[in-house]
Amino acid sequence: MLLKLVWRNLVRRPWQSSLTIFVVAACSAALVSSLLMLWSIENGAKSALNQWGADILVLPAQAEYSPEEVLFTGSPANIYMKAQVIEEVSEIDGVEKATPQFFSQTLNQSCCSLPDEYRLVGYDPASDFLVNGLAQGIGRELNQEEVIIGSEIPAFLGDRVVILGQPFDVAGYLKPKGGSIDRTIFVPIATARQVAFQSPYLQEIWHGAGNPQDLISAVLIKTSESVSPEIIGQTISNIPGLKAVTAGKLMQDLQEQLVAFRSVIWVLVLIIGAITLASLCTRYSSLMLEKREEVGLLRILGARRNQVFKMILAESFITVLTASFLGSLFGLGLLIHYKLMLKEYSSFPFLMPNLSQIVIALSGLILATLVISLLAALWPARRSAFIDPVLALSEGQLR
Amino acid sequence: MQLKLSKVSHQYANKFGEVIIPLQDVDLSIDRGEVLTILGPSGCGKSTLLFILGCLLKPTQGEVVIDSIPTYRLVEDELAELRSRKIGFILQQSVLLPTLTVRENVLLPLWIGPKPFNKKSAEQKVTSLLEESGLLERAKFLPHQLSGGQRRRVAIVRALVHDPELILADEPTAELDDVNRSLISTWLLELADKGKSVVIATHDPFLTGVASRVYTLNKGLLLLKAKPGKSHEAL
Ligand SMILES: Nc1ncnc2c1ncn2[C@@H]1O[C@H](COP(=O)(O)OP(=O)(O)OP(=O)(O)O)[C@@H](O)[C@H]1O
Ligand SMILES: [Mg+2]
Repeated sequence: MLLKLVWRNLVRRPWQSSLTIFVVAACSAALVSSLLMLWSIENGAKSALNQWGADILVLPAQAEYSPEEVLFTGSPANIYMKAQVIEEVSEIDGVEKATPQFFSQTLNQSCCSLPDEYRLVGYDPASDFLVNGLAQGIGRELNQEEVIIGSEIPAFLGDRVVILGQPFDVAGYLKPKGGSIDRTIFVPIATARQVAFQSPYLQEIWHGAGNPQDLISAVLIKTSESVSPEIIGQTISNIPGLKAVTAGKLMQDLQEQLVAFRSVIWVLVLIIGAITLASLCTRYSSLMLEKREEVGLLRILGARRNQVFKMILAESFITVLTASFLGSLFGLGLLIHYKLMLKEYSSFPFLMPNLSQIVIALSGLILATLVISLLAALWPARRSAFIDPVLALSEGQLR
Repeated sequence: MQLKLSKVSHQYANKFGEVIIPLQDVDLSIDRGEVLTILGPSGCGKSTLLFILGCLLKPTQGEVVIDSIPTYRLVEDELAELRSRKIGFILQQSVLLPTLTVRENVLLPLWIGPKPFNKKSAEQKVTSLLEESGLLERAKFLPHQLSGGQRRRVAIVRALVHDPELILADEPTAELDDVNRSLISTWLLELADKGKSVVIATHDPFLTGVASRVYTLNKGLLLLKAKPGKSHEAL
């Protein structure tokens, strides 16, 4: 029908259309990037909590902790406790499994080592109930020269990494999980201790704390269902020198941190939506005035009201569809940029939804933008359809 | 097309309550193959009359009957369809769509109209109309690249492209040179010969010369001026 007219109008008045496109695209980009960012962060937080898999984490009492550090940080503090803690804790009623971990880190070294700092986690293959579950498909204990590495750690020379000067074989890679686990190297606890002990950078610590063979960083506990983890956590915290963090508490802390963030994002989203609606409303109202004469002519030549109505809606539909598509792509680009930035400067969990989720989300957003634009165009389109053609024409002549 | 006005009056009112009555109890009937011209001073209501004939304005009183259907019975969409099928309007101002080329502007009534049209024959018709009116070289120009007279000719060609049964022409030859004026009057005559009805508001003797009837409109009254018997031979 009059699509030809719509198309020529868009193409031959590029400046007019591109202004609208610019406004809508900018708003879409802002919407897409902020919403997907929120989603990625919530995603990351959830996945980090899920993969944690322990009910209680026991740390030395001096260890500062914040939830994202415990779960995600790439730079654990070098604070240790005596290995006997594990026996002490195991005796508590309701503790089903307890496994020690020994944290350290790789340090920047010249030639042939890993380029960044990574978290080195030694786990006890005998009592472990977490790491083997994380690394799917290995199905056996690691030997002393093997490691499991997070998805963001670059291996080189085939499947090998060099940690503090020693080469290791990579037995398995973890899937991207978001958070620090992607930058973690899991090794048998003996290896971790040995590597740490030999590191020239860590000697001072061993002078103070003793031989790493007798030290652990944390105990991960699985509780029996009959006793609440909170009560066990309380019991452990009462032991001098120890501190317990329960999964429930972690979840709560994390949620609290996210609440503020989430509400900021949603307020922004509402504001952006309102701005889009308002600017489209102004745009279409003035467009309606600009086009009075043309619409009058069409009506005189016999165009029906609903042809005019559809024509104006179609024009807005095409413009806004183009705009929100471009804007979404741009927003996605921004998101990837944020992601890289966040990875560099913070330990915040960030796990982008997978492609199909992104596609669905973007389609939803584009749809929402279209609804907004239809809302904005509806009234002007109706007004245009109902103008008095003769009057519109003579008024048009006078402008 | 048969058209009949009976006791048609129209009045305009402005915001201050002042009332203008450009048409008062106008009776008029037009038959197939007739050419009518309407003379009258500026502001007397010629355009108003044409708008009423073209179903664009509802008269405040009286009845317009087209092919024995009173137009007040038709709803807006039916009137629009009537316009797009049967009426060719040459407006006093040559309004063209600024985003369409000359050729596209001429095709516009076909795009709008409800009847499907044969693309090829439509293109051929447009080409020949443009050629006759000397616009073919400008076919791909946009309206702002045309002179006033060229724009007027485009508007005239546009009114003829969909083969209307009633042609309403408001000062069609204003701004045109002699060659084009006689071309337009020839066209209108040919159309009448094919059985179309033509109503022209004009001062142009070229056009009054070919009319089957000439009316004057003054102070709301439409009066038959003369019946120039064998005017066809005058050309
Ligand atoms: N919308 C309107 N509201 C009020 N008055 C109007 C309106 N349109 C036209 N008129 C008045 O009606 C009268 C007739 O106008 P019309 O345009 O029909 O004259 P016309 O005979 O075509 O004049 P011209 O030869 O200058 O084109 C004019 O006096 C004009 O002031
Ligand atoms: Mg007039």
